Amino acid sequence: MYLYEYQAKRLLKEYGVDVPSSVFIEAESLFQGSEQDLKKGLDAHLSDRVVVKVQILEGGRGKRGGVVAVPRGEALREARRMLREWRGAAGVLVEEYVPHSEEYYLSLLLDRERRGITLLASRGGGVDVEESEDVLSLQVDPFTGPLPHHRRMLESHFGAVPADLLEKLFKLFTERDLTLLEINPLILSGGRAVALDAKVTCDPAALYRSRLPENPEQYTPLELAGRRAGLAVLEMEGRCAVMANGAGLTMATLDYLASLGISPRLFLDLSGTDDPEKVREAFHIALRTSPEAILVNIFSGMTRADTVAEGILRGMEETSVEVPVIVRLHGTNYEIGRRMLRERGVHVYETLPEAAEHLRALLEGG
Amino acid sequence: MAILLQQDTPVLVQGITGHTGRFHTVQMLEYGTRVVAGVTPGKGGERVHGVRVFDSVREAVRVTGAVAAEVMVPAPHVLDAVLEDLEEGIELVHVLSEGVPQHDTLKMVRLAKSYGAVLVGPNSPGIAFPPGVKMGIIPNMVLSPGRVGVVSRSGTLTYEILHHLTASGIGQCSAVGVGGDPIVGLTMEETVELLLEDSQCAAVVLVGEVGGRDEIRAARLRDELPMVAYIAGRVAKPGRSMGHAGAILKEGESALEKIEVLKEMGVRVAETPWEVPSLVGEVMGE
Repeated sequence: MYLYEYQAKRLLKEYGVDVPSSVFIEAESLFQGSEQDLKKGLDAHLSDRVVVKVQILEGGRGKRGGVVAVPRGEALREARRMLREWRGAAGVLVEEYVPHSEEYYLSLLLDRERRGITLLASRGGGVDVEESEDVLSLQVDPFTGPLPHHRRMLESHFGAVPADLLEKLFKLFTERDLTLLEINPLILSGGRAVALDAKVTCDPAALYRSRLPENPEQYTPLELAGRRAGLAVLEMEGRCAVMANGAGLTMATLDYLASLGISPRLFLDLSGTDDPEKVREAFHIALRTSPEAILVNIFSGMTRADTVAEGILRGMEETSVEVPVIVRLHGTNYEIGRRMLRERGVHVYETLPEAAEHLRALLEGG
Repeated sequence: MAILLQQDTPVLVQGITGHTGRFHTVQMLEYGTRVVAGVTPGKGGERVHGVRVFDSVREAVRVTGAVAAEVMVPAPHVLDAVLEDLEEGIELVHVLSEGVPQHDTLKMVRLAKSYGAVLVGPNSPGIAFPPGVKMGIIPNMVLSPGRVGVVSRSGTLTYEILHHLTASGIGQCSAVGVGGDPIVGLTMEETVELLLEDSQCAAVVLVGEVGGRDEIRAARLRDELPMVAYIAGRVAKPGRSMGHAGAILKEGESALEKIEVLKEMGVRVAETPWEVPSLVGEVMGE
């Protein structure tokens, strides 16, 4: 899960890491707020030269004109130009321009391969750090945090850094359940370290305690509805909605359909459930994508087949669907589940190839 | 002798009084697991299907001698539950719970190692050793005794593959779900290393998915044991998590890239879950 730069910088500031003075202007207030107030806000906080940065969740904005240094008086005009270009941006960050000669890269990463916390540091920040060969990579123990030798290693690479910089970053990284905290570029001058740009990703499983914004706009409305219902949902561009239980099985189902030339329109992982209502809700979400057909593939373990059947029937009943529904049902209580569906005229099969064959015939015929 | 868990290993269940805990305690007992205790703070003295519930792991261990723990508590409480196990000398911890914060998992993984215990999971469907002992929720009906070790990152997809193996008359000595999270305790590679020591095991099935490189590391042991792999997630969207927190497409970690690498290493890769049994038959015959 991503945070915007302005959110990342608020976090850094909260943990005592220097960031340039800045004013964040929401997209809405930039077009609707009073020009006078906006201008006053900038004049009060910023120097004569500023950097205007569009606030979007994906990277690469710098290469596309989304980061521009201008005199303060031109900031609002520049900001409006950016927002007309980047529909859906959260706003712009107008920052004090900080002159500097050298840039550095510094990050903390929850490292899947090493099963630890990795610190990466490189001289020369900028856009191509990943390709740079001059990268210092250190492991930081999750229990001790950074120790003096980490700072010594970093200083032998960077020159002097503020004494408590690593501690502050580590505290932010662990207390707020971040999975990546990347400062690029970082500038060092006169004993100060200033984060000019920051990229933060966080653990969605920890939102209940990490006090971080959820930024729902990074999901489509449908994906959001899925999240609220405890379902993993991904929208795609194909023809057929696919519902299955369990991430692996849902992926395997999509892969098999794709091998038959059937393109998926929706990936919906029901996960485990013992409530037919959750299945009914999933069914509604599938219908909202206006698929040409819905394929349900269930191998029931914790989720019982009769529970799924009940949910499907409820969903179909309420919506009086015209969309064909094809079900593959196996596992715990499959006899009951299959009987329930057959009695109501739903096509139900024992294996996925049988169900997929029916689906293919149907899509080709239509 | 099975890896990890023996027929007579005394097991305690944390979260036994919850809905999942109750249902799957019965399933474990029916399969043959020696579930000797449950732990739910505040519910000491109750019984769940004849299994005595204790307020603390310490009490459960003192009275019943449990050495393995099944963790079925809500994700925010998992770190606490696992640490309680480790401190009381539990040697094997299986975590079913999904949605454990990754920073918590990291601590659990480190501490389990330093306590000399084995941690399986989190977000693992279970570990099963036919004919008669398991922890977690792998359905009893898909298991049958035999000589194949199934090592997987998924839940239901594992059941599907176990079902096809069983239906084809290919039994299993082990089914180990390592968990679908980015960071887990026991890895696929470590599981295969354990299977090398199991004289019962004649072939390994790796059930992987998009994200990470655990399958590739496990496949390095292909010369020691014949291997078949199935990798899900060829249709994954870059950067998006495909249902499992760990199933995120990054460079070099796509299903197709991993399938290519595995094939180059000489591992037979099944196109579909139901193709796995015939490939296993072939590699075991070789």
